Amino acid sequence: MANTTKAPERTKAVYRLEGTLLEACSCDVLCPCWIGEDPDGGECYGIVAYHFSKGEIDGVDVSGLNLVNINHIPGNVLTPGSWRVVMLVDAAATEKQRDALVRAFTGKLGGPLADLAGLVGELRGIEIVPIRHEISGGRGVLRIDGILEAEMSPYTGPDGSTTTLRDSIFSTVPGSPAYVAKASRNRFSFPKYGLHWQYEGRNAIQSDYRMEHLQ
Amino acid sequence: MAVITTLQRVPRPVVAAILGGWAFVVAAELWGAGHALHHDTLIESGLPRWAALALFLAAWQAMIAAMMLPSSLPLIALFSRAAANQPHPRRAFAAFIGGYAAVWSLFGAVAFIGDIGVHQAADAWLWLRERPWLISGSTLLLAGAFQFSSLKDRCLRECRRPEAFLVGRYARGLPAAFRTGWEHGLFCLGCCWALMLLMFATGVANLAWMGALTLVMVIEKTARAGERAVRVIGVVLLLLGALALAQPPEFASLCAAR
Repeated sequence: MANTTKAPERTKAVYRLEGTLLEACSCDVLCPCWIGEDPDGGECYGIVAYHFSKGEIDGVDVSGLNLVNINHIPGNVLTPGSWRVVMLVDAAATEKQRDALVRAFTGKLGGPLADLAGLVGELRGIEIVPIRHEISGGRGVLRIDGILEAEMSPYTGPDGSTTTLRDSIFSTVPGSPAYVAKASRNRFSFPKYGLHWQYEGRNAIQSDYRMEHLQ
Repeated sequence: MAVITTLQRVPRPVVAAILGGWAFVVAAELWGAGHALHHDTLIESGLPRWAALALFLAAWQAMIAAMMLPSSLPLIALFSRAAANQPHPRRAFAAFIGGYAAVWSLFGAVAFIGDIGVHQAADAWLWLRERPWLISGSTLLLAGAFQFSSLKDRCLRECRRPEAFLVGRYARGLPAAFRTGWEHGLFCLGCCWALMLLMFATGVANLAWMGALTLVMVIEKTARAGERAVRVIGVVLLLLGALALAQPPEFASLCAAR
């Protein structure tokens, strides 16, 4: 039979997300959230900010949207159920888009995101907030009015060029650079969850992100 | 107690591999086989180079299990937990460990071949042969200086934050698992290559050095004071290197003390 008719797609993407991932930790260069050790100050916060430049979840287009996970690791990183997460979903998303993002990142759609969601002990809450994610190449601002404000700039070489770790192990997408940035300001306050921090001059890494689940 | 609860969350084969690695090295030492597996002996043994390399790499696996796996337990535990939901969790986990071991095996092979070069240089150059402490001393200085580098900091950061590492690059399937193990191995290599190079300067399967260096790597990667420890360890290594270069007999007696 001639190959004129398009064969039905055998694999369907449950979700396919592309964009950047920015992660910063409250515990200075090193996060002492380790074996039997309590983190500095008794706890450790990590921000994981996703920006999806292109994405589709269960047939819903989520391109251009943001999601921020506030990971709160109260003690030992390996203690089952010790990770507590507050999920912040972009207010720019429609109800359908929000639902798709939440279902994917809480693991309801299976795949690698479900495997990772399995590491979380408690999802403390999901909040719909306006997220301004204007960081690219390790430079810019991440702002959630009244809650989070982070400003960062990449490390630069002696000649003023941006330090990238091209083709490096720091990046998930082969051939794309990862940017090591210094967060000059990082303020977070969310009284509802009893979360507060403020620090300066900590490291952050921004790298390309890709996550997909085919069925 | 904390160590015990952590070990309970680590897949049993990994715990078995660590214990097996140490058992192998201790047994080799007790029965005098340690010397036979020493890279110096292998190089000078007159065996074909490829056979010497193969023998060395086999013994090196025990070194990786004994020395490198303990400091990577946090990521290993997290990965195995996440991968438990995959269609083939065991195979994925094996691929992950395989990727990790591949990095260190490659490093072992390169260091072994480099060591052949050092031996050849020593054979050809009488002055160097009469001063073997120059090799161990300069390796110590190199390892000490590396403790202060930014590469060390960056790699250590990744090593110490396995949850961020995993969230950014986790994917299902064997190739992805191998790549995750490989990339984690590269970060560990970035942290610890200079410390592992010391094993060559002091002799692979030298129990005292193995124990001390394993402890150092576990502290650096996992303990609360790890960051400060990096500098302190750097200073200690620099001092040891200076001692090796300035007072060779004293250094030799320090190394001989088991």
